Amino acid sequence: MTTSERRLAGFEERQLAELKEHIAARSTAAPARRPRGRLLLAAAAVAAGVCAAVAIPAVFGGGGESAYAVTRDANGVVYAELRDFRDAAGLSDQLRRLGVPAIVDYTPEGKMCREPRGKHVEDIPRDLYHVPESIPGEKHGWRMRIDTRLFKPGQTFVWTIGKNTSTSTILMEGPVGPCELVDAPEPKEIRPPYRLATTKGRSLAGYRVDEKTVGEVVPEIEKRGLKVVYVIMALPPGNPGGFGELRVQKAPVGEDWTVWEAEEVIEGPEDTPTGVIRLLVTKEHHDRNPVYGGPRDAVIPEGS
Amino acid sequence: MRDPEAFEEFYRRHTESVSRFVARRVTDPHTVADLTMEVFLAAVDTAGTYRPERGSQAAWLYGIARNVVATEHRRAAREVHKADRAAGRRPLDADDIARLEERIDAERDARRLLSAIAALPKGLRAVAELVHLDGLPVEEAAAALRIRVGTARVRLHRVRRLLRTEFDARRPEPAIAKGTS
Repeated sequence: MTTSERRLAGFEERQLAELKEHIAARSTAAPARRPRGRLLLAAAAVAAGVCAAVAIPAVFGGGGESAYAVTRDANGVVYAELRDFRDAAGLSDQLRRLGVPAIVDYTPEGKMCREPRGKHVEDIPRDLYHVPESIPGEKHGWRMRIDTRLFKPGQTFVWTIGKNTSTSTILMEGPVGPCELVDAPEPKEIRPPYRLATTKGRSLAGYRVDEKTVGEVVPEIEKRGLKVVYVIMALPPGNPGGFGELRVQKAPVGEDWTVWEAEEVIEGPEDTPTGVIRLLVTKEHHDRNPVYGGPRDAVIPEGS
Repeated sequence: MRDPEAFEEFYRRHTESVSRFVARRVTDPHTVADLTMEVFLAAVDTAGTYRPERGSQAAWLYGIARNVVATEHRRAAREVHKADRAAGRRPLDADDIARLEERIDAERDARRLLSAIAALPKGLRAVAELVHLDGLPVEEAAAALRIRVGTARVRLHRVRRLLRTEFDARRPEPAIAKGTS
């Protein structure tokens, strides 16, 4: 170890002194207190931000229970318990009567309210509301705690309760538009329209192409009735691992080019292979596979 | 980390790279100073979790710094009483602020890259940040995130796919000197 000679800035010297004191204190009296009150590391797992959406199964409880119960304690904290979520208007009224400036909407399956309905409040007081939790002792339904003292004038608590999906709670300010039902988007997952072809169950399962030549690999692929397109790879200087695509072409490249991996092009919701193989190739041979930053075996276990 | 003198050397060696790490993600000098302090406090308190065989001290510190910065972002998102926060701060003089602003300024490009990768899925983003933004070798980024090196490589591969243009536009030089410990 060599001590860095760099001169510390003034605040760094002070930080260092403070930290050394902390260490000295720790070693004499354990457990020591940290030198400051605010413990950033004690991360509160409270959902924050403008919108907390929590997946809660909307099970329609029945029995003798009422659809919802809203109570308010002496401090202005309102507890809303919900068992049947369809009477949104009734709940809305009840909340408003107890001092919660709320709009509640029920959204049937596959639907959502068109957004934006109003201006979202960015700075939400920490205890304004807590994300919904189960009602103690009950299987169905959930409850929510709302501190009415923390609302600012003009703010509205916009609550959307969905069938089988989720509830969203958004704090808005100013006018809030009515809930206009629109189709909810399918949950989106961004996936490239191709995937590795050389693993189990894929079009080239059992046939390794990495580090072979184009001349060797292509006849083998065509033998399986598959078509080939060539992805000419662009490697960063020094081939540290990783690559870009210079271009994709159907026109054949030299037989002596190196193949690093093969991908199958897929389509549709079922990821159906289209019979087209993307060969990742470079003109030069390199001492490490750019796709994996080293040998393929280091990344993909043999036989998978 | 029980010996204040040994800690001093550790602090001197790493404080600048940690504050730059923070400055790539936060632009307020006071917050940069505060969070840098938090990182070292956490390092002192969790020194027992450092495993030399899993990576350098820098990688370990970056792992801590990531958590500290993430916590700060969550906190900032819901905090209303900003005055309380300012009251708990250590004072910075004009020189301190100038030094910090220099660092914050120097990391401007990195913050641009950060916003480019902000839309990536969480797991991909974490690796991309440490490697492309903070200049950690893949092995060390994996250690900082406690994932396997192979996993980190595969994720980087996917990141490059998704962000071809940004990636080509900027390859950061290593932000830290690899410490021998």
